Amino acid sequence: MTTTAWLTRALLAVLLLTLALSSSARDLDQDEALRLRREGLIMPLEQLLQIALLRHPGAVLLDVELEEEDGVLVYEVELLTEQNIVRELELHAITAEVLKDEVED
Amino acid sequence: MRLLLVEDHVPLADELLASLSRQGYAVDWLADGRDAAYQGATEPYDLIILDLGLPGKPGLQVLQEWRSGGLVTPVLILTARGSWAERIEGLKAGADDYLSKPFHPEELQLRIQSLLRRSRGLANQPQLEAAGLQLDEGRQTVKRHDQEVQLTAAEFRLLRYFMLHTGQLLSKSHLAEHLYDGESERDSNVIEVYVNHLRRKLGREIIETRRGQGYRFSGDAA
Repeated sequence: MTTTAWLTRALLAVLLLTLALSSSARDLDQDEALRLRREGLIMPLEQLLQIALLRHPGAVLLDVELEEEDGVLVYEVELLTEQNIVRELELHAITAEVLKDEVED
Repeated sequence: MRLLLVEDHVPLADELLASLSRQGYAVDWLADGRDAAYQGATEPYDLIILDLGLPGKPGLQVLQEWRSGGLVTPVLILTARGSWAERIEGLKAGADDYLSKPFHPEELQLRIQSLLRRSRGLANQPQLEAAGLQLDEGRQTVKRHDQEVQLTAAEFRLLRYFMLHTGQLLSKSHLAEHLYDGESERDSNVIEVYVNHLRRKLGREIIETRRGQGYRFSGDAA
């Protein structure tokens, strides 16, 4: 398996796991997330991660959550940058707009 | 928890790496017995999964070397189906448990859980219980005062480590070493970030900071 394929699989695993565990007002279960994804209602995580990584090249993925905040689906992504700083990014799950990008403490 | 997987059958290793990382374990993978003999004895693993049929050096010999060198880490061996002689040899050489191939991934998951608890002197109950918290390792959620709290993957793996080491003083570098594979995580503020997350969710008091020394998980939340 290529590194990319392996990474994608690992990321999907992290996402599917955290989908069911999301600490938002409303939890999306795995089936619901898969349905949203299949119907093209949310962006695939890999694509969002690429956008996040463009802002922080070489960063490592630490944690992902899919949350519903005031009716908006948001990916909350935590990255470890090359400068060894943890950053928290929030991305709109449909438009991939970066809603937040700040140092997490 | 940091695991070493020694398995030369690549498709199986691949599958196990994926499922173990879903379960929140940091896993190093080796396929050669000689590498395993060295790395298993020098890196601080919490548990080792060892296939007995290995290139380089037979798994049985690797295990004997570890044990004669005083290694106390729990070791689970993977053996060929129906080979009771191999299982007996493995147990004699110092294995703590075994699984015969092929096995169901959930069986491995449960055996790992129980070995890790036993090695910490904890009862093997359906949920990991420590300091007033009940951790459901299958669903990766925690209960406190009968209230369920959701955890992310990174929060879950840190809390599980704390609950298996209640009352112990743990340095930041020790925690990073047992929770992450990469070097970068070890020189970063990753541990501080997730300690803060756990405090926000479960109460400030559950993790005490000892300045210059590390953290102590007491679970004593108000």
